[in-house]
Amino acid sequence: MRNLFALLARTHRWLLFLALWGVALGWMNTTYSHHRTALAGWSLRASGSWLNAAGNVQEWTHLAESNRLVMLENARLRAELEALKERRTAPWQTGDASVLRSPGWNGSPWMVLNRGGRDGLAPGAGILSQGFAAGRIVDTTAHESLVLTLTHDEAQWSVRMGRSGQAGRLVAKKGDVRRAAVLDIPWSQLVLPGDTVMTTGFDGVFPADVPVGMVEDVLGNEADEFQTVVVSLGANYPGARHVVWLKHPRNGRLDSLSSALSNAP
Amino acid sequence: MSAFFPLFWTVGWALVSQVLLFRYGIFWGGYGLLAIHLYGLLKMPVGWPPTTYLLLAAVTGCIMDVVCFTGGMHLAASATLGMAYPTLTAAMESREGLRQGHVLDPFQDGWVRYGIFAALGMAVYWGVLFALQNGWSLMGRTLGQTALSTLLNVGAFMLIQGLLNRPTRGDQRGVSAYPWS
Repeated sequence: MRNLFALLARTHRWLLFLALWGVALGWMNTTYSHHRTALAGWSLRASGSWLNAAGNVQEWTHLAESNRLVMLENARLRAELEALKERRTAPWQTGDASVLRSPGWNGSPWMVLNRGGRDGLAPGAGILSQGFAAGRIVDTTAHESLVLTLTHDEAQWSVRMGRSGQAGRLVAKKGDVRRAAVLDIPWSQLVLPGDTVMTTGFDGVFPADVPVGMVEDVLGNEADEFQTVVVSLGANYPGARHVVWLKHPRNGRLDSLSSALSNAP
Repeated sequence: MSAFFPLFWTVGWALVSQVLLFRYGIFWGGYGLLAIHLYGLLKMPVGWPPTTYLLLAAVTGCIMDVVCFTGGMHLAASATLGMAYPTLTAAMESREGLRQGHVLDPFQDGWVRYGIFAALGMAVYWGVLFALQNGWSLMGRTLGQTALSTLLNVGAFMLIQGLLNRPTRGDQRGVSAYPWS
């Protein structure tokens, strides 16, 4: 308390000056409507600014949770969009899932999801990451699924250049989770960096025209019959936290049809 | 204590004359205003406690506001002047310094030094008053009014100094009131 009094004694002139200014401003506030209006405006702006800052701080503390909810909402909307695209025919069943394991710089091409057979997933379902084709489910447990991603160097995927370009095979580059190569594209097909690579829908995993990535470079020479297109994959494997799964009831029937014993020549 | 009475006398007549007469001294479309009561405030002696300057100036401004219905503007301006007064007098110190109780005076300190001192004090006062009156949006008008009113009042104060504060020689005869006379 003694220190407080000492502080007040040291600063009494400034305190008195501020008090006099307070009296003067209060007096002006009661005398002039213009000043009253201006003071009310400043007060509102100051309180608004303060509330805004406090809100920002509060929002910042909940940013991680907000981000998670936004990503879930994003995944749900993408799933809904895919369902709407196929409304006229038998619709693709869709849903969202969280990523438990993902291809990263350790070289593993596998992804594990937190949804499994109990959630309606089955081998053969396609996986989208941020709207781009990411892989297909090859095995499930009751609550988890194993996904063969586009980064697996022994897998091949049917893609085409743009919506109406030539179809080819997408093959991963071993150990690279960001790029893949498209083979079997003839030189007659003009391919430029920046072109979008789409799914053909022929493999039954994805519907047609789902984006896979963008052309980064074109390799080969004119002596070859085909060019090799280097594609920057759209699915961000190291950063993916939520994905969308796609399943069509017709795929199961087609698979059983193509693997029937009666097909043996 | 004896220094208070001449000051109160000066502040008193300056205040009364301002309220009764010079408050109507508005020139150049409102850009030049007279504030003769500040002539008295600028006669506050050197060496008083700083709080005394603040209180004395605030009381003067408060009286002006009550009498002229100016709603706190003179109070704010006077309080600022009172707060800045020790700094102003310190800035006007000559090489020999200022003795306790010294009142800044053109006949002792020189016309230029007194003019600068009065101009600084007036600028503080008018700057605050016109800023409060005009607001941020009319800052240019505030600066113009401050400059012109300061010049007008410095001229008026020098005139008053020559008329009323004329020094006398030992034989009670006056000496030259102005530098050119």
